[in-house]
Amino acid sequence: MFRFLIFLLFCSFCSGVIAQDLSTPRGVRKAQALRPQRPVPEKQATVSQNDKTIESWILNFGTHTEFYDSVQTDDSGGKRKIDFAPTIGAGMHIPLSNNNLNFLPELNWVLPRSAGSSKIIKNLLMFRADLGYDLVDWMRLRLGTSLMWLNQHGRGGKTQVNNGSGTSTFFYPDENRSSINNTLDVGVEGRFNDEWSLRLQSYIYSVFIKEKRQVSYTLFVTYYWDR
Amino acid sequence: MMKYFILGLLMTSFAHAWTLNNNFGASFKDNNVKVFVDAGTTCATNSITVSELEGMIGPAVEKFWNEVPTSSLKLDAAGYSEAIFTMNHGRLCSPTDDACITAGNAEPDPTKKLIPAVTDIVIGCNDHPSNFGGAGVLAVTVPNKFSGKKIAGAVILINDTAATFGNLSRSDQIAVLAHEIGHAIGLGHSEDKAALMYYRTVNLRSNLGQDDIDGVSYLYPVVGDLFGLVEGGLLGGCATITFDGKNPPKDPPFAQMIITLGFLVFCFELLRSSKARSALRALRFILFKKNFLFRVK
Repeated sequence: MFRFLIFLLFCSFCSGVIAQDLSTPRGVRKAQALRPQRPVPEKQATVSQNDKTIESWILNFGTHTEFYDSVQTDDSGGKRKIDFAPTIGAGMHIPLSNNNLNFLPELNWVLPRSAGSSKIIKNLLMFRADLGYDLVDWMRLRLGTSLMWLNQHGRGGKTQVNNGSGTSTFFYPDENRSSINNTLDVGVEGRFNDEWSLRLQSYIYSVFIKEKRQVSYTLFVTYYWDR
Repeated sequence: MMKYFILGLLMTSFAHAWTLNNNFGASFKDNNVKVFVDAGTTCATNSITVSELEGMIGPAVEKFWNEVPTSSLKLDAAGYSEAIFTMNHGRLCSPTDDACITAGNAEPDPTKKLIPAVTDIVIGCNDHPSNFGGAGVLAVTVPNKFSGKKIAGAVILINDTAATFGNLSRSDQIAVLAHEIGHAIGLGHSEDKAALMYYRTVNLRSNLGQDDIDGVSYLYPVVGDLFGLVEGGLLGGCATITFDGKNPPKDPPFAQMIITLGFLVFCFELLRSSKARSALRALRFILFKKNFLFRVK
């Protein structure tokens, strides 16, 4: 949240300064005076001519597995290897100056899951960005980071649950609370053609705390929509 | 075909849910909670020494509750607490259970009087039959000290009226203690057999279940942990805020998150437009090239 606020303040500051500077004749003159003095790099000229900073939009469909091999799934000690948690997302593909490098910001949403007759609703949003490296034509390696926003919305109420010697009353949460984690992400993407690809994207939680370190992953089918 | 696919996506649902053991979402005020064993406790019926009991606390917290990255809770096996006079035979009451408190204070035997409120979590063995519903109950937990709507202390009593706990394997005993610690930090039972907070022991307990992870993440949220560098999160989470009887602060609603995202996209689009790029170049010129604000030597 704090990082968001800082970023928003920075954005507000930038847009404010830009607007103020452009609104004054002096600022415009300075901007005009600057142009002929500076040689325009070749890449910038290309971008300007084609207006193709964003090469394509990305649409993601997949299934998310939270905390691989660390969540018990039955009463015999079985652990979760894969989960069905539908995930959708959208992002951008921005080629960088080096032809093999790409900047790939995206937003993914693990669709709401409800529990206890919809008394608790859980959402996971992933604000993320990757640096992609095209190893070969059909394979891209990704290294990036995510802001994982896990939101749980409780609707309150109570329920009778067995307590070993009868039943007791227990309560559902009645607030909206979120956990926000920063993760280090590694992914590999195989392209079928120019439009479709299959991606395994992993997210490493608590990189610097051994006991809390966990790995989640998503299997994505990604569609590239060229501009 | 497509509409059934989309319907399937939107209808994913869990059958079970985690619960709270109180109706106001109480959790410990501090995310770092110490777990003690009462120095004077004796588990004669269960044939467990106090050092054996203390040796189980570390695995109970490390293997289960301290493993959740989306929770800021950090439990610490802190050794022995000072001996509580009534721990072994006294009566354990919730602070709001007036009948229990009256009965406890009226006990003629001083060792059977009320177990006092404690700070953090204290574990002991106890043979007062009124504390347990029967020999099948392995242990009970009561948060018996509150600060406003925050838990300040909880007592975990192992049932020493029968040897049921002592007959379990060590790994099951550790799981039972971890389950009781779950109650101490504010969680109630789950109906999911895979969850540690399920009401009874299972064939093999290896990890927390999804219900446990969700519950502890709700009670002790992380707010920006910088890859784990900042324990408990940059803002400390809701769990560190005292609200003393008033309604606790709420997280921004989902719509606000979407609006924030929209604003970020707007900022990005603004900054990448050609006019903005020109303006940024002008800004850089003003700031650095003419010694206007910053003198670069």
